[in-house]
Amino acid sequence: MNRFPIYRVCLAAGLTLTASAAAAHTGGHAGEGFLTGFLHPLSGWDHMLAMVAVGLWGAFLGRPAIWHLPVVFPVVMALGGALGIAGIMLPMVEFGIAASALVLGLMVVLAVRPPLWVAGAVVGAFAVFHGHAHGTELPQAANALSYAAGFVVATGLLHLAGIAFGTLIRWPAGAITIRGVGGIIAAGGCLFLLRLI
Amino acid sequence: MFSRAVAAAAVLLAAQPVYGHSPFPGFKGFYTGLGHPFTEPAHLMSLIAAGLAIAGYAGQGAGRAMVAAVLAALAGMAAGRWMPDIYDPQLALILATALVGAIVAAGRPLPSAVIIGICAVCAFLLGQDSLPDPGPVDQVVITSLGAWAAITYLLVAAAGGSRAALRRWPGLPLQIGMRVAGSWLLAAAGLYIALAALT
Repeated sequence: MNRFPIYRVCLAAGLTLTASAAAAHTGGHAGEGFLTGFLHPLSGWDHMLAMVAVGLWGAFLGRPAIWHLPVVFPVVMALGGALGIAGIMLPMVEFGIAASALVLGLMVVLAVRPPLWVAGAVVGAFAVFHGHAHGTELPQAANALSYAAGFVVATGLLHLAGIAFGTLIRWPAGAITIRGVGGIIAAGGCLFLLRLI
Repeated sequence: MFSRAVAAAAVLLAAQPVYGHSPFPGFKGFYTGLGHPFTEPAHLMSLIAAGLAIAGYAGQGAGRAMVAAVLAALAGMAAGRWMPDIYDPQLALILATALVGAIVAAGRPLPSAVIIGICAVCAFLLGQDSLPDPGPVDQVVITSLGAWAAITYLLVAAAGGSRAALRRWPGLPLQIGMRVAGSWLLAAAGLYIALAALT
């Protein structure tokens, strides 16, 4: 007897096709600010690669770096964001962002395992540049707190993506794959740097 | 099972806009208050932070922490009407949120009394900042009750949901996830505080 409920799937598909557009709004300034902030780290490959590299390196280093780095980064990034929103200039921000992808990618591909405080310092130093870039591009009409929450959450999710990928470290082939991905990130960082020169 | 899930999702997507209004005359303020914490980023963040702290670090005192926070929110609303303007409640709330976020991010065990106290302070400031604009007394009371109901709901949802998740998945990944979430709250609140200090 065929117990596959094909009629239910057809019913579900039919209901899906009858759905109308949801005319919801994002809740005014707070929602728009959050969404704008959330999309900002996703708007550039340099940001994305560096954020994934932080999570990847943390997973590669293992405990306690696996949670220290994703905790340190957003906090320091917020400070950089505040500097950016306040209009305080930081030299060579784009260079710092590009360099972060290169350096963090190299850390993974070369399997560098520094002391925890060194790893935290490296990550924190680059976090200021990323935060500053997000902060300077805060839209005038956006709610600053919502915008901050948005880009912090997006950054954190990218870290978690890197960590999730980094759990492959437990297998020999996974370790090689991770280092390969680190190499790709480093190559991307190198390309971004070359574009700036 | 999968087809039921698909069917349920399809039914949800098929929903039309609801043009509802308050069914009881004079109770519109209650719904306004009810929606208030959902639309204020600082309030939402503080409730999530308090919920994570209660779930992760209050231990056996989690129930007392929730009761204390709910009552503190009510006290904050009552006090807000008569307290002089000696500080900005929203900035103080964000400071408290940053502190709670730091506690969650640090992941260090603290006495449950400390967690209860900090969450109660957070809730008091939240109540103070939830006070509606001046108006007819009955409308102010109704709107305040709506906001208090939403605060209670969100706090119980955040704390209860986090606690249930920790019991269901007691391993390291979720604990790390909570600490990371705490750092997000600390970061966002910290940025706002730094901005307030710099500008």
